[in-house]
Amino acid sequence: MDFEDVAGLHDHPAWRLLRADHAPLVLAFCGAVFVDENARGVPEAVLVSRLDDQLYDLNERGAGSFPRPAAAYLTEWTANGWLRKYYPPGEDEAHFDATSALEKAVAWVRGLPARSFIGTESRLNTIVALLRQMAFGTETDPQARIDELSRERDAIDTQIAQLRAGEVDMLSPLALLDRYQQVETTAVELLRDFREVEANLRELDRRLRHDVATAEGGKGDLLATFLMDREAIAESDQGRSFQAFFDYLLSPQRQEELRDLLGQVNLLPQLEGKTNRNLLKIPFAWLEAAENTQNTVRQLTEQLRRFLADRGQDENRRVQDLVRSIQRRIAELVGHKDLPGLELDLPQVELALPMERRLYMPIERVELDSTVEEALDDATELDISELIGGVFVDPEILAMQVMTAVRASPSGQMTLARVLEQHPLTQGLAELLTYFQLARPGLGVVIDPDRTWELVYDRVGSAGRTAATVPRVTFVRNDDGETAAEGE
Amino acid sequence: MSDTLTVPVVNLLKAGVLYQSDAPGVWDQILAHQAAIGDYLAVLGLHLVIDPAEGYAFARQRDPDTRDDGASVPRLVTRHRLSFAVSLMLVLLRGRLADSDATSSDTRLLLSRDDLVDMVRGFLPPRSNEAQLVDQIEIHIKKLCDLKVLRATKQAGWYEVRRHLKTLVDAQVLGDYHDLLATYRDTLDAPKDDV
Repeated sequence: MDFEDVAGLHDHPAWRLLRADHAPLVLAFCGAVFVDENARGVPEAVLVSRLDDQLYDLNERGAGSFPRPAAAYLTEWTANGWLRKYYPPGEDEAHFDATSALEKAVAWVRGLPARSFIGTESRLNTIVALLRQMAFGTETDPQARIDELSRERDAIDTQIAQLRAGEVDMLSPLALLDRYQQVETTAVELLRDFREVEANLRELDRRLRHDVATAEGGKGDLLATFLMDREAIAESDQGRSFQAFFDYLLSPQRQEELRDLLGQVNLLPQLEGKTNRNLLKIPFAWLEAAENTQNTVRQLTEQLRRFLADRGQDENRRVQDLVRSIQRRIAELVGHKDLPGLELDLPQVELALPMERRLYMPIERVELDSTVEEALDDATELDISELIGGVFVDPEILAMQVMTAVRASPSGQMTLARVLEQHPLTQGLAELLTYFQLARPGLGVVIDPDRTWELVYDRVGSAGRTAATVPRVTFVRNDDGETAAEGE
Repeated sequence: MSDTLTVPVVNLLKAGVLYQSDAPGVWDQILAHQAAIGDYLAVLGLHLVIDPAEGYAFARQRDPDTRDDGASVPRLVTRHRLSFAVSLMLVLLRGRLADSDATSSDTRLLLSRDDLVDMVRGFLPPRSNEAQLVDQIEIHIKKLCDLKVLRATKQAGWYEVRRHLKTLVDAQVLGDYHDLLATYRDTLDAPKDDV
């Protein structure tokens, strides 16, 4: 790595994190949540409330001054590439996960304090074993392989002979600790690498998208057919290596073996007080992280397929060009009245058969049952037809009255109170409620539930007066829509 | 007509756009009886649009010209003329959807109310009363929710752009609108030249 390479990394998110003013906060908080607890995908509300607690605690202790709200910090950290904010499928709440840059920074900082004991022997053993595997695994000469195997057999024979003679050769506590430490670091490193694997896969996905989006014409088609292979991501080197690991881990036999060995090692008297209880949970943590990554692969593959299946990217590019062109046109026309609108078929079919309307029925006084029943079918629209079913209020007449009043007003606005002064209610609550639904082209209804007033009106069908608390309603003239309404 | 079609057809027509994620059961029925539903809707002069990859389906009015015998059929689906502002928002949202598809791996496009306001603000005539402008845009947002192009999420002030906008406002629609604006501009210029 020469000077330029290092200088280029100066802007790496992990490096920027180390330089940040509030790096201790980020490293401590995110390290605890995402690394120690190995949480992947924390809902925004949960993370905000935890950070809030932490900030409160720090400010109270005077350990630092963190005046901004928790959400603001999270936004900044996301923008800096330390956290990833995303919406999991089917959820409306944003989730956060650490990026591999954050993991690297956390790992680096945690490696800073001097360790009292650094095992070297076990690592040397590992290296020799790995080298032997490689050399042996690629050896083509059968004789060489046989020689190697007989050497191993001789070594095992010697060991058996020694044990028969009563010489039991045990690992010294020191050698044991050395090995334990290596297992611990490798296990944690492996866990950390999952985030990087995920990040790599995302990067791969981004590159593919970019390639497809920028490829021109025939080449694009070619590329698209080539990439239609939905395994594009799973088949990459990164994807395959990960899959092999995942398969290995998923085998119940291996899991059991792994757990038994870990449990056994953890109970060794020689390691008393030096074991890390978290290590016992590591197979689960691996499995969880691997599953997460597996999900990412699946999602990315699925999305990439959708993206490619999208009747070619030509359409997308054309859409983008057209949108830009329309934007330019509209920008030239800003300020003109009567700009034309789109004409669209909206897929909904509204059927209103006249025979479904009920005939006039004399009104009965009904006890008001204020318990609200959940609408069973599409709860999207509140059905108040029951409420006004007995009385027919013609919204057109009301709209006319309001329109006239709004037009007459110099500000183009009119409150419901003023309208009712001119046109008192004659049909009671039903009429009042209809006013709330008057929004139509050319007329906007703004309801401000925070400001209410008392309306007193005559009862319908009996003597006396009733009072209603009504939110402040303002009718607004809507210039853009008005012409469209008149044009019809 | 067998009654297995009742549930999917009525749901399709009532819901407007039916998403797999909203009604998985009905979605499975639609996929299973795709051809039969298509035939049935054809009788009504409608045409079934299914995007299995995106997981949505809706019925569309067929072009009246496509009838062989030349008889005129009134439209079952009303054609809406949208106000300029709502059209503008549709166009801009379609652009945002295309951008997000090309650059991000997230299939869902979520925008906050502020994003939406910022998006259109520059294209609407400036007003001195900012609050009024924002209120106006809110009314447009409500309209878009009624049109099911936007969906209010459980997080207040955040809206999801529904993916069927892709089919609803495709390159054809955009191209036509582009031409319409061009014609409009020309008619604006023309009288001035005459004077």
